[in-house]
Amino acid sequence: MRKWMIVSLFFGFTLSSWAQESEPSEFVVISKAPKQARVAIPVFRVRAQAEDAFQLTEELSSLLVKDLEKSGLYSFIPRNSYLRMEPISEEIEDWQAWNLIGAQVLIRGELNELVPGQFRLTIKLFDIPSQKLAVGKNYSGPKASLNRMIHRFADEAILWLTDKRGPFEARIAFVSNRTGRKEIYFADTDGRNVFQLTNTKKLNLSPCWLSGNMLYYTGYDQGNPDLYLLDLSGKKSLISSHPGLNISPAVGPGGKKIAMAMETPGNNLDIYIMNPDGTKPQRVTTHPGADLEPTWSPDGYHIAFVSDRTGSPQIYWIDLSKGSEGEGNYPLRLTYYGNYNTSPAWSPDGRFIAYSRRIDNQFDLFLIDLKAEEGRSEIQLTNTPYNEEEPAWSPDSRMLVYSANPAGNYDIFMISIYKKEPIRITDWSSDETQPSWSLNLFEEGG
Amino acid sequence: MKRKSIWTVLVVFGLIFMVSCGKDAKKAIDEAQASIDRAKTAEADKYAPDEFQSAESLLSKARDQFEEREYKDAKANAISAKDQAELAYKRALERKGAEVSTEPRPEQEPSLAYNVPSLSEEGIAIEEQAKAVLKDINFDFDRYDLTELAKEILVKNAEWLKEHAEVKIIIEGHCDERGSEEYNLALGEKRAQSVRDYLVSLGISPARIKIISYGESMPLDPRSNEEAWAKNRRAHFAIQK
Repeated sequence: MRKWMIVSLFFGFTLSSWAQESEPSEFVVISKAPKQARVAIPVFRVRAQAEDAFQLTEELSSLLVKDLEKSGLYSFIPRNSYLRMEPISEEIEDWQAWNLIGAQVLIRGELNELVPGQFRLTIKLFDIPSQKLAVGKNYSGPKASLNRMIHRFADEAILWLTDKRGPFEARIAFVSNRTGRKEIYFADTDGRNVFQLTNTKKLNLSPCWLSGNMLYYTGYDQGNPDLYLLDLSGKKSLISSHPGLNISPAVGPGGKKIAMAMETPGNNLDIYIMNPDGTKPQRVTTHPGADLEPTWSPDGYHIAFVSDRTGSPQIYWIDLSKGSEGEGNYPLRLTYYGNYNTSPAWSPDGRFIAYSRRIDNQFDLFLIDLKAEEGRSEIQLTNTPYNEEEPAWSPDSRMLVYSANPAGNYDIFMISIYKKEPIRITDWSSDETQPSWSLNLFEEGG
Repeated sequence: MKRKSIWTVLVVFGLIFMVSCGKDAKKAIDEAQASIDRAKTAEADKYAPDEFQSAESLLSKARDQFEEREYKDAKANAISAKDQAELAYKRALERKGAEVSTEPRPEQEPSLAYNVPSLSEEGIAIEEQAKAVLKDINFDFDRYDLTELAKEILVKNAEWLKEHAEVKIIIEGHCDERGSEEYNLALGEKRAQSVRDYLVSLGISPARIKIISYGESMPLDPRSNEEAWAKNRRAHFAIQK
């Protein structure tokens, strides 16, 4: 009996590993970019006294290249194929030279140090076919704000190309157990300038941005999982501290309402919506199963959420315009495959609901395409031997940030819906999880 | 001649038998008396009155039966009397020992096995005892219902809780690291609720119980394997301060 088992296991293993090798890709392209441009970006010019000024401009040029490449909307032409780096004169570009290498867009920048420590960054975007200056910006500020200027310009370049602003001048909040306890952190969209927001040495989970500089999270400060609103200046307000769990905060469109999961007396977890300050809670779900992880539709009339009312967690949605769950208003089930579907995230443009499905003890990301022609259809975004979980959308609905553990520990990764190459955002050896992408800071006026 | 001898033999045997029975009974009675005397010196009449009185009445009965020549019964009762006397002696010593340590002993470690009435030591003693007695219970993967083993452990935990009615507990619900963070918070909460509901059904007042879920965030064993995961899927008892 044993011998037979060993032999068949051996065959099964070789067959499956052979099958895996012929697997195409671990990630898929969700959508074809409606527009894409090939861009040439020579190294920015620099007029500064500082010794590291040249290195600084190289880094800034490279940061712009990375943002534009990440978006999936621009494709960078490597500098070694440029026929010339400099313009013919101050006002005249060698359009032919750029045309010859297939560039459609040219971006030039110049860094000036006005006084020691204060810089001006000038960036210009040229549309090569029409031979015109399309976007020109001047930014000034201290050295620490230079990265942010680059992110802002990347968003401008994307706005020009697609009529929709890019997502890079924003913050990514996440949970890390780097200190031994789970605390809330945030960083730039490229993972730099990490800042530790909480330091309670207790448990802190589920950050969700209300605006560019305020976020909700669940903290165990008082020995119970309570919902707090934290402002980047450090000011903390207690929003909900009902007995039991106060978890899964989700901010509605325009920040007018928030949703969360709380216990209804009788100890059943339900979805509630309320004002951003925690007042006027209204119960949404009434089923005795556990209902949690709400996510809002962009029109504010639907909430998708996780419920284990059939025995295992699945994703449902409910129409809020009909009031709470009850006669004539039943949640509609969205996921029918797999026995563990969680962490739904509705894209701000309403097109997709991203979520995480557990298949044989390992998580992958899926998307429900709500606008697909044949009705709702599903796309498996990741198909790796490790876990991808907790997806969150960029404010422009074109990128996802999520947590994954290819190296064993969890880190934050990012991917464009137009590409299939994930980008690593954090690289600590600890676990970084539950990312949240803030609104665009420029649009917020912050 | 033959019939007479058989009878003689029988009578002789009978006598010998009776005498030896009587001897055994006497021996048992003497031993019982000795045990009772010993128990008396240990103040068993004071510290284990029930057991002591029982021993005394059994011995008294045995003596009566001996007088009536009911040697077998006498022996049986005397043996029982001796057992009771020894039990009384043992219990008297235990209880006396507890009372003696009532006097404050600031230089010594607080006594863990006994209820030390002095204020600061008692709190620590109860918590230490609780940690040792109230065992964790484990759950199957993705489940929050109680296994048979879990119920057995909870029955024992409940017994201790009934003996220490002043103690209030917090039941923590935990999960292994697989699964989503949020759903694991909900699962941990359900695990804690299952335990609480069962304890309440065993007669523990719900006012003594608080619950909290930590989801997957506080594993007992940080490794990522079946053994660690099984340990981490647990409900843990903590004492409310």
